[in-house]
Amino acid sequence: MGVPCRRRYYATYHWMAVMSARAGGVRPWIIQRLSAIFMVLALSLFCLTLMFGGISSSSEWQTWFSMPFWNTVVIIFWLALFTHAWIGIRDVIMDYVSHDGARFIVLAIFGFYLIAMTVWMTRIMIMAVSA
Amino acid sequence: MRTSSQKARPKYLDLRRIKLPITGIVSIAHRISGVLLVLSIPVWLYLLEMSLSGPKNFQQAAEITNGFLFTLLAIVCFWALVHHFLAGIRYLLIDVDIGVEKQVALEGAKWVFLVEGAIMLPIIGWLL
Repeated sequence: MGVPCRRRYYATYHWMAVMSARAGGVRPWIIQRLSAIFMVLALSLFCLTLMFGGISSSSEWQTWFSMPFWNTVVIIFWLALFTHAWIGIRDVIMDYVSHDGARFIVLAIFGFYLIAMTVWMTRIMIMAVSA
Repeated sequence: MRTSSQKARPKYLDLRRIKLPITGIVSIAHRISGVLLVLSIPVWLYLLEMSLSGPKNFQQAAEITNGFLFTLLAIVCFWALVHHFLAGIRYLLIDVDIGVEKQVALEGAKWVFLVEGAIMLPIIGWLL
């Protein structure tokens, strides 16, 4: 018989376990750091703008969001947040939820949650640009 | 034969008896704050949507942020953001080999909490 080859070994996994069995590697690690650096820069810039510019009225706030530069920063910020949150929450769930079925369900719930939030954010951004 | 170092290594699975070093506290707080931030997204999107829907709703969003319950929530979320931000920068520095040795790592963890306090005090004052 001998030792089963890697492919056959994988085939013995339940399908619910596969979702996190393939999740490791260096790519998510790099994405996590790049998105973090972007958010650190963007948040610092946003805080400085608030401190020195100051947004106090509804129209100022709307104008700020409809400016192409800031609008682009906000949308990239959301993309960074989305991927960062997914990789982070996925790592936490994989560490603490050891039952395959439960882990699959919790991962799926958070996946749907983040996608729903993205749809909501898209709607808000469309409203902000067209205002 | 057991060596003395093996003997002196008790395993505590009792949460009340586990004592984390300060670097461990920064680490677990990084995870907890990250989960809190993810869970609080709907609150911030709700307020963002409201604040961008005309002067009347902008005013209403401003009034919500003045409420007591919201103030408590905001303090927790601001703490989560500040901690996640600072501890995250510490991890980025560790990635480029700054603060890896035990002594510097402990110092770095201490600085995370110090700067965190220095940033949180005025924020709490401003929110209250």
